[in-house]
Amino acid sequence: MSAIESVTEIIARFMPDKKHDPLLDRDGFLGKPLYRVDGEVKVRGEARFTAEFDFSNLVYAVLVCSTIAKGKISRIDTERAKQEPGVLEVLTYKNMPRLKAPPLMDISDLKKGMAASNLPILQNASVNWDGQPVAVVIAEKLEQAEHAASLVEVEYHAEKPAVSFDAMKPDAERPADILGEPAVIEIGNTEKAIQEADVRIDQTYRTPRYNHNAIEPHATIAVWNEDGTLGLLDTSQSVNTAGHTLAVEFALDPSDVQVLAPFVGGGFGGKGSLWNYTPLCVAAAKVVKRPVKLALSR
Amino acid sequence: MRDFSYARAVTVHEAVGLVSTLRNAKFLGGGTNLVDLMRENIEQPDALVDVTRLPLSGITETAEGGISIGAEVRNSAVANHPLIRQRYPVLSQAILFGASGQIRNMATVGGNVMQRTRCYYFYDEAARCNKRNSGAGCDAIDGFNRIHAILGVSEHCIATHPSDMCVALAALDATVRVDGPNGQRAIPFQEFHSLPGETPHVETVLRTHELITAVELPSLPFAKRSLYRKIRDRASYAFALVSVAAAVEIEDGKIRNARLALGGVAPKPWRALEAERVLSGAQANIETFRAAADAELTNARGYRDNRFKIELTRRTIASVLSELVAAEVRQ
Repeated sequence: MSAIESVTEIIARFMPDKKHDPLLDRDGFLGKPLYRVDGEVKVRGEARFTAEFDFSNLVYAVLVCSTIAKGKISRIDTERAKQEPGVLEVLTYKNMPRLKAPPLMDISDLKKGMAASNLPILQNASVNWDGQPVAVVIAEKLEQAEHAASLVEVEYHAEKPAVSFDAMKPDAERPADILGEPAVIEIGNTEKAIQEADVRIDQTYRTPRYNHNAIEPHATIAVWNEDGTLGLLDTSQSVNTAGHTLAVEFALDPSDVQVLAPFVGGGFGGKGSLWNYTPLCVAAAKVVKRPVKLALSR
Repeated sequence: MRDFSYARAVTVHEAVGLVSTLRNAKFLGGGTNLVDLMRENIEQPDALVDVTRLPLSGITETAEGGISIGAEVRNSAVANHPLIRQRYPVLSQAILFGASGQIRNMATVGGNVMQRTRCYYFYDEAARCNKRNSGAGCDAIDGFNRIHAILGVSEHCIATHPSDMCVALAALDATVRVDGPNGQRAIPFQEFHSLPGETPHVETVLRTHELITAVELPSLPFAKRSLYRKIRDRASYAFALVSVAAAVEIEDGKIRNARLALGGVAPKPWRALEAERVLSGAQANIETFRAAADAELTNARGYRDNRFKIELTRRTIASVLSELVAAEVRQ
């Protein structure tokens, strides 16, 4: 199998029907002007992105995030926030609907779901990272929700976080699999290869950390229908796995979850797996029985 | 964000009157910094007095041969004005290196002068910050302080002033004109911003309810060859790690006049007077430029993550002066 065929094979495995994509065999596009199907509406400003959709009866959710990187919530008081005008509910780990554990990606079966993390979503007092959601405030207006969020009082038992990858390396374990594939580590003999090479360039290159920084920030609008099915607009690059993930978390039949993403304003892979703000928005909509919009800021 | 009232003034008198009468009121220019800070709950005014419709939007020559820029002139308009581009290119360049086209179109000159630090801890309500909450302490000093100051700091604050425009104004020795309940006054640019000392929350010498009405540039013929260089993590839409604004006048191989100011390294736009002293009358060569940089940086102090700024500033000063002198010699 050539390298190209191998890549094609991997790409084909991500496709819902696993059938060979005829476009993969076509070539000759380079340097030629091509009609971009979504170009006209985008140039006219008519393309509607997730956070721009509106629904009658729509309410807004705002996250309260942890200010420590590791520890436990020792006290969380939502009374002041709840008394603010327009506030419908404040969710914390105490009154959050119980969710099943988020499923991690298994490349051999994407119908298992594809969450970004398998840590529980607002199910207990643990804090695992700086900025982890610890409460969700739902209000009639965005400004009301934002203001009420600033009134949620949280106290923590802080623990020392592990923030150095290198420092944790000695305790690292070899996982059984990586995203459903066997864990393989192959390191060649660099020194030997350099010694034997005709031309030698011996330099150290380091890659800095990068962040998926799409122009369109992440957002979700969740709507529970009267028949118990779930409709969702989400800034997702993978609507099928998003639906499967939510079906696992909320114990639904996957056919009862519909996820739409008519346009995605950039993702770079960062909108491939499901982050925790989406199930938080879905849970908020379930509790207040209204459509809920949750848009993250940059 | 808290609820606030909004009023639009049409005269300076009315604006000062409104801001004095309304409780906890602030002037609103382009809003590119103040509104952000209100959204983040850092600024919490109860009332805003919009001053963008005041008759302060002209760029005119003064009787003394300088230029007066109205406080409500948008940053883009200053940067693109023919007189600014011809006589003070350093100011035009500095503005165009800042922010984005959209922000420069909104931001006013007065607002740019008054903008506040981008220190992460100033923006983070969960962190201690003496600017936000006087006496609370400073989490930047022992924190992640890669973008912080190396000059003019105190044990209470090491935040930098973020403006590019102001670095050029410092080099050009501008004057800030203000109007207020007790009348008009003129403040030399160098005295306008305050060092943190014991009171990091006091950032300027503006008195209560005073409004900036104009920024004046003196006649400075040699500034027609001036340069702004900005070193930052990416080539667009980033604040300066180090920036240098400079103008030099050369005569017979010697420096007759030099103006130098630094950005990204101090709590205020930093006029480099020590360096100017070394430069004045000295041979225009790289040894002089390095000596000037060393003189300015004698008291520089690096923290855990920003020590690199000392050497970076040294090199940038020498490089900018070399480029200016080379351009002068070619004339």
